[in-house]
Amino acid sequence: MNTPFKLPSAARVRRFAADNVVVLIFLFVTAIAVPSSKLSGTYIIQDLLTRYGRNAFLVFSLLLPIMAGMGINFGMVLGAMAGEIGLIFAVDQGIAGVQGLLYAVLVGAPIAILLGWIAGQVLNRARGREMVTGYILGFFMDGVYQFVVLYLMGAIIPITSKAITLSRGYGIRNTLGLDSVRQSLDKLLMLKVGPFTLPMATYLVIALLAIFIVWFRRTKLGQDMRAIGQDQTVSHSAGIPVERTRIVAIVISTLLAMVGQIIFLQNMGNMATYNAHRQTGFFAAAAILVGGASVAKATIPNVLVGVGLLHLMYIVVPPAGARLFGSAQIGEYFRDAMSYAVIALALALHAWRKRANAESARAGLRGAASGAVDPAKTEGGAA
Amino acid sequence: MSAKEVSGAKAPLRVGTRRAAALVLVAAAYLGAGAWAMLTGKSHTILVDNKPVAGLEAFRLVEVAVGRQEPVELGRGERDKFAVQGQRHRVKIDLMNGTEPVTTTIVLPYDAKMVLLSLPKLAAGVEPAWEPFETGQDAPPPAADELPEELFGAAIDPAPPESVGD
Repeated sequence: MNTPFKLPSAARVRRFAADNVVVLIFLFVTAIAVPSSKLSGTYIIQDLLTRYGRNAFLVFSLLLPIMAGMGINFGMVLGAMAGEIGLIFAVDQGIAGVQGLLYAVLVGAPIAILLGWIAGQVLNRARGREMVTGYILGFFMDGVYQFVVLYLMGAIIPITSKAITLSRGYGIRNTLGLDSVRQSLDKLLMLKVGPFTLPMATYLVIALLAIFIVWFRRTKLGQDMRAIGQDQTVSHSAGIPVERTRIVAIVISTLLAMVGQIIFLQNMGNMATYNAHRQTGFFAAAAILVGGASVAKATIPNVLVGVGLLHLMYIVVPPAGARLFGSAQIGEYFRDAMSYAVIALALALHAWRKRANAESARAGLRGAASGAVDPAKTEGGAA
Repeated sequence: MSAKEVSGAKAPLRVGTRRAAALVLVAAAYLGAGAWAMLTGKSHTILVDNKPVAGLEAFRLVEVAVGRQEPVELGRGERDKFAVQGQRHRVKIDLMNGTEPVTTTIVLPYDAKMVLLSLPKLAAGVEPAWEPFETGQDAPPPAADELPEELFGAAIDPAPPESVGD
């Protein structure tokens, strides 16, 4: 007997579309932009491979706070600032190559841990509003960073290289050349596959981070984070140190963001001293959300898909804009607008789903309550 | 009865010792990695100089290589540079006249940014064959690399507009 072919119901399709609306919109836009850009497949793939190495680590740093129920850690810019301070010292000390990157990580690590701990403390006091608090905390710390880099470095904090100091004698220049560490990780192990060059050392570092995250989720601390992400009250009742675990999640995220920013900047080869970190959280958040993550749930595939999709759009939209509208600038504006729209849409969807779930749960309770009352009525009626 | 009393007095001590040992290990790894990065990653510039010095003649034509870098050819009175990392470097001088190349190792001081390595001195075995080289200028600042506009007070706190009058 033939089993009749069962078409997915309209509700199921609607559910799928609602769950993946961000990904679908992105796929749609990119599908239009790719042929319009007239870029060759080889060029797009090579650029994507480079951008994976450059950005994936940063996006991975968002996973743990999401797992711990703290949403997207927009406070990751604190880690990015720590990485930049590390790089300033590496350049000032004239430490080049991979050793320069390691030196930057070692200098940046204690700063990132301290900043992460401060962020964790603040976010614990702003429970339920972690994302907006982290975002504003980033702005606040940006001011502190500017004060340190603009006024203290060279005046109180010793900076020996005049090449990176402002002509007035203290403060760091607006643009810092990272020639001494430029692509030193990428070029450590280059693999040529056909027309493509793959920065295998960078991929290896990213793969190690992914393995670490998989392992970490299975540890006691990782399980605690997941439990806290599901329900803080129950976790607290179960004896999990909720506040401490949330702080650990933010500290690890800040540390990873610090390393991620160093990997990002070594690939770029120069650093906008006062601006490089400002958009870090925004790009990373857009990437992970485009990959299908939500502010409550994110996985490693979300990161990989998101980095690919977002950067595919970044590659093809400006040339597509130039061809369709005669100005690449329109494409630039469009891709920025799309990235912001994705974040806004994901946040709105999260709020909508949360409310819908709460309403459905309430409706379920009402149903149960009426179910409990109805028999009495029935009995009464029967009587 | 508290949990500590149940588990015995020695358990917390053991945990404390283990934690202290782990901390010491982490600190040692941190310092070790830092020392390795600083010693092996410190960049120097070696200027290889084929000029007559202290009664020693310059070579007519010489090929010189530092470490694993591509060798360079220098004529009489010429100079070139090698960017290197770390303090110990092998220098190979080939006089290109059929004689065996001279290979020697130089050790640079940690804080020397740029040194002038005299090839005639090195080939003659004069120690030290190098001397610190000061350029007297440290990368003159390009104007574009000064502060971004928004960091200037004027952008943050603009001057009040002139009164336009009625």
